[in-house]
Amino acid sequence: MDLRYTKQQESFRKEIRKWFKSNVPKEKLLSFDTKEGFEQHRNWEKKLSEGRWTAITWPKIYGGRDCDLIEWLIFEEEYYLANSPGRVNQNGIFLLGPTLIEYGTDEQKERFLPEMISGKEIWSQAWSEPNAGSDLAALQCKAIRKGDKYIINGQKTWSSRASFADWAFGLFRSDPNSNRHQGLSFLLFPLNAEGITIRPISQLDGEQGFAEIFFENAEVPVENLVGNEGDGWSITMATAGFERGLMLRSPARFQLTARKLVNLYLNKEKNASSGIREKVIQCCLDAEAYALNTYWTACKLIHGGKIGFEASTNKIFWSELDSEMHELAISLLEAEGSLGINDQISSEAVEWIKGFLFSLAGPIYAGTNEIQRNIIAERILGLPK
Amino acid sequence: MDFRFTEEQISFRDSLKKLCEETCKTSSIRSLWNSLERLDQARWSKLIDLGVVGSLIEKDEGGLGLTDIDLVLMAEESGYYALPEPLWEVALSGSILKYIPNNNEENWKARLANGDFFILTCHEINKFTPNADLADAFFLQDGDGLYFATKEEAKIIERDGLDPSQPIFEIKWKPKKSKRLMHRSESVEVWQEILNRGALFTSAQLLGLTQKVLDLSVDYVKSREQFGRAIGSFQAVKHLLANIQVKLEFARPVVYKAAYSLASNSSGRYRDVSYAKIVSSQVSKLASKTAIQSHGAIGYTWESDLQIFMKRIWFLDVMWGSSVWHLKRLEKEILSPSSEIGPGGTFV
Repeated sequence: MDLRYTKQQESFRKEIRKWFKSNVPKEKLLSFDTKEGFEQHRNWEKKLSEGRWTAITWPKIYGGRDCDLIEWLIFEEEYYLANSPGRVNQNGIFLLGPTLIEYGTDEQKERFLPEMISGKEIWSQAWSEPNAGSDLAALQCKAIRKGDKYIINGQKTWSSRASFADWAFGLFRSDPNSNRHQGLSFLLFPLNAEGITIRPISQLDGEQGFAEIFFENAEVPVENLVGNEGDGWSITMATAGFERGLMLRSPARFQLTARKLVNLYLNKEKNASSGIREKVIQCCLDAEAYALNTYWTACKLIHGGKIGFEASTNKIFWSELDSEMHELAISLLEAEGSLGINDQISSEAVEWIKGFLFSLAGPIYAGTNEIQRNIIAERILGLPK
Repeated sequence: MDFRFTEEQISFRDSLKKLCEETCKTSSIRSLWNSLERLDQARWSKLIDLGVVGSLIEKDEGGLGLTDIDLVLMAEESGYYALPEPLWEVALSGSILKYIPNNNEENWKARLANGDFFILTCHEINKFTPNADLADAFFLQDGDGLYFATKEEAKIIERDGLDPSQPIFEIKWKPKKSKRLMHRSESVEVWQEILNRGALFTSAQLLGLTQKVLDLSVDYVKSREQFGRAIGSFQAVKHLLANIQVKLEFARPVVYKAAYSLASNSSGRYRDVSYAKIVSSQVSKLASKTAIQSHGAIGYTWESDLQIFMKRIWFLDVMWGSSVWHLKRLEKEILSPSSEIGPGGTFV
């Protein structure tokens, strides 16, 4: 055990710090769940790609840097320290990209990865349907092969970024007579294709972070099938799989929130109860525990260790922590905790309130925490179904 | 950056696991409760052979010269079996020998290293000293001075302890200047190091105990049937146990990092040890509550082995600083504009 960074890692950190210091936009970008903010964030993705920072863990040949998970953790720490904008293309960079690198054809990699890296094509995901949420295998949206095309009919919903994105990937029933996990296929499709209608959904904060997607005889060429027809479920599981589970939410994000929470507490200390003080400390502790656990797992993986169902335990841990930190912040803000997200005067309060609203989605998206607890109980603890 | 244990450290742990598996069954723990014997001599001599008692004594003083990183997994394992013998307390006393001037008069240094002289260290933070009746001598604290007293020089008063495997005692003694090993000006840091190490070993044992009560609960809910099915198939039960799994997984690296910080004498060791004690206390208490709930009425009986582990958890929870005490110790350090809380602060 040696918990010191190597010289190489230290100099990598310096390189990142230097680049971000001179490249992070001085003015805070608008939310990427607005039309204008979306385009601002697309430009940020482009800027990142110019510095080769978009997808550092990808292989060099696809525009990455071949970084290992420790370097990724360092990168994320510097990314958040620099108060960099959010990643509008995270569906592409962190979910689809690694899937294509593993399962895609050479043509698919060549066609999609460069545009993803440069931010020219921003990706949305299309998993859930009105009657297939936690029970994803109940999905009914059909993609039936006809010649060299798939004809898609049906509906997807809660599709993150679909309001403004260019492309989407998702899971469809390619065998109409199949059941549950069988007969599903993983397809890529442009959101402006004929037969596709996007209906943005206004979220709790009034912005349009997700949308419904309606398909009416939409045609998708067979080249856009990832993996084999009928293998969609296992490819989806790989997409949602562990390393992505580890990388979905980096510790730095919560450490930054914990830091801000401490600062907020120090400003409001006079009026705060000792109960709140203890909870703030507990959050700092949990944010550190999340970081340590991620370093711990990263070291294990780098040295060829096997991975288990850590994605499930991780998700519960960070989403509950995030929710707790934002609830505390709202209590500390007192009257300002009642502001709306468009208030122009108290920018600090508005940031907390936006974060608070979004923190409520954490235990729901990417598999509800109840589903994660079922997975932990059945797969890790071996309890009966 | 390498957050892994070496193969040697893992095999050291495995040898203790094997020893406990063979000699520290719950029936053997129970048999000591009703016996006049205070130690399982056979088990104790095997533990001595393993070298743990002298592990933290420097090599030139007859010990193994190991570090906290080498021992933390073993402490965790001993918790899993609720090992009754004061292995870690004796090892702890060994860890401070290097600060103590040579005192050949009684030649206890070498004897401590090979396990035939028990010295227990009585830190003021612990009102009671477990297993004091087994001790040949004590390191004692008066103000910040560090004193030595043989069992004849101290009066030990037994109190009734909650954990039948850990008899507890109050120690009454009169500090004698001639028995002072270190003046308070030198011993302040030594006492803090003792506290840190005591808290670390306790935290590690609590991890093992948590795993144990979780395992016992999982076994029980898999086999216990109601409404025609195993109760472990009900989500309400599953989710209780899944919560423990989550918290335990996130507590482990915190405790391991505290071991590293102590071993490398890092400036963050106070903070890291307090973190470790807080999270391990929290998860183990929640685990014991969940375990008894999952067991139902059988968990509330004397007959159930669950009590062996729960009571050890409740006992260790308050040793070497409760989580409230450690939270207080951390408070100022964390709630400050210059604290290391934030991205990149983890290994500072």
